[in-house]
Amino acid sequence: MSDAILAIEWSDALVRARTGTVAEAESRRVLNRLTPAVPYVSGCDWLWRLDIDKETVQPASIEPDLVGLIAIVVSQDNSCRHCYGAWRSILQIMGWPVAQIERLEGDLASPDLPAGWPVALEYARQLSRANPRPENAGASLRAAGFTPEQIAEITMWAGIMCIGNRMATLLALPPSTELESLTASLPYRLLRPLFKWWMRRNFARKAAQPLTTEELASPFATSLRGVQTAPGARVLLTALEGAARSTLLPPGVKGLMVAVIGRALGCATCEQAGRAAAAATLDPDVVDEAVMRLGSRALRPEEELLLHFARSSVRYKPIEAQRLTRSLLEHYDEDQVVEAIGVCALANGTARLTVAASAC
Amino acid sequence: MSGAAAGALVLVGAGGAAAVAIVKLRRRNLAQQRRLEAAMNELEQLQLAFSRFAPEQVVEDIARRGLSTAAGRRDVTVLFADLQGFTAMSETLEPEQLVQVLNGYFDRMGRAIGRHDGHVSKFIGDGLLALFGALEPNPWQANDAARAALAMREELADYNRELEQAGLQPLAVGIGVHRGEVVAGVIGSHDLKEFTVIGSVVNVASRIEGLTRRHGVDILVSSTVAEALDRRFAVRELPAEQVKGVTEPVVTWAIDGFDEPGGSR
Repeated sequence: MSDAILAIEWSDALVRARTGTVAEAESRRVLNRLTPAVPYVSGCDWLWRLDIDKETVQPASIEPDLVGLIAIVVSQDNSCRHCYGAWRSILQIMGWPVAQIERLEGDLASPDLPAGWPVALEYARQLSRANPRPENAGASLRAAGFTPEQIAEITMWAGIMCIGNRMATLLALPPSTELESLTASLPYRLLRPLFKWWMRRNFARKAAQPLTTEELASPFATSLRGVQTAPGARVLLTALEGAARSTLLPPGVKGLMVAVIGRALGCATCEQAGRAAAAATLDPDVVDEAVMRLGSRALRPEEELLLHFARSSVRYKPIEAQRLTRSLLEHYDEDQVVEAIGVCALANGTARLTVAASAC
Repeated sequence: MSGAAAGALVLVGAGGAAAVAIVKLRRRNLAQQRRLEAAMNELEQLQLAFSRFAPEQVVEDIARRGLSTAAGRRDVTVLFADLQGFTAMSETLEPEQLVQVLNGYFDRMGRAIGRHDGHVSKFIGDGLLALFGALEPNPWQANDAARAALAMREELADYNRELEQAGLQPLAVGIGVHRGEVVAGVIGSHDLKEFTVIGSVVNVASRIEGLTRRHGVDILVSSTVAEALDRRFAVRELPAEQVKGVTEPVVTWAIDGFDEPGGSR
């Protein structure tokens, strides 16, 4: 399975990488490094902020190793060459033998795992696949020994990975060769224990700060109620608010994109939130027609293209998704296309998080 | 030999034996690992090959969960397409040429259907059954099926130009589309199974396809499908007709095109 992922067809990056930007400076200030996506998304303020902030999220109620495995499983399901390669390397650095990782890819019920972890990983896979969304997974997760906080956190990590996978795939981010080649290098082999210690120190568990009552009152917090205690909830709320405020793309069309993704995933919460956002600037009848029939005479052809792009972001083959992204560049500038990618990624992630409300 | 020397000799001997045992064990482990990797690669290749016979998702489900992959009720749009005049052609062409013509037609139809989020469930002689929304929830399946039908019309027109250049008779197709709840699953005997759907919706779609000849059109959809369509589809209502297996006369709608600059998508 891993050979198939590593050999997956992948195009060149869809937009130009930019250097010397505010986003780059912020990435280095916060993380002491440049994230792979920042050079490509620096033109969309809320998106580069999301990209940097999600790297600061740390495990709280579940083991870092389980987070790494969730990342592998979801990246594998999304055929994300970039994220899969990166997290495979991270798990190796954390001390997981390659053979063990590959066994897990083929069989989540592997006896290598602690009790309950196979159930969590299967839940994460079903969240990613969303065919349908695992609305009734709570019982099996609780039977496997997970608390409501842990279930919320497992859901959150799967959602964050869905966001990251789509950003990487739709942008066609180059594979993270630095990390991948590190684990094959002589210094790594000689200093493996030191690298392991460093990785585990930087990805250690840290108590999460739940969303406050004031934050939960935000109209954008509706889809985060089930994961309000999980690490990363605040990062996503900030991103949702930023995406709504941004004017790179028409706010009404962005609302339609969110509604379309919500409808495709069977998430009534996200569909309603998207419809409400769209109706702030578009006629309600146009909103209804566009969401129900994926198009409307009242929209321009390039706006309809965004709806089809949003729909295609729910389930895709990477090379076909990248081709569709490229077609957007014929009608929009790079920053607008980057925002479109960000909206799709964020909506796909949050539409999966609403499952936690029933699962926890 | 002194006791110390004898002891040292024993230790060296034991150490040597242990080293040999460790080396042998490592070699055996490596060999087993190589065999395991080879088996996994072969399984992967089999899965890839099998995906030509069944939708990829069904193949994956079977590989992970076994053959009793989840059957269930689904809201699905069913498209039947049947070649008209092919029987006459089959009596004049050599078998190899006939198969070549038919495969060329199926390739193009399959592509048109795949481009619009459908999949070909089965080939029935010179006909095909395609499904929209069977493998994944699809709120826009009616529009997808209608767009696929228009794309099939365009593909066939293109294919007919090729056939005419080759001195062959052009083909004509009748397409019927209906939507409703079906039972979807892996169905069949112990020796032969397929992922397909069953239910009255399938029968009605087939009957609607049959009505294309009576109405003299190539694409007909049911009222259920027509009501869900984008308003820009150019549709016209046709008189209700009695069809076998359905109590009430069936109202159908012909799709003439899609009203936008540049024609149908």
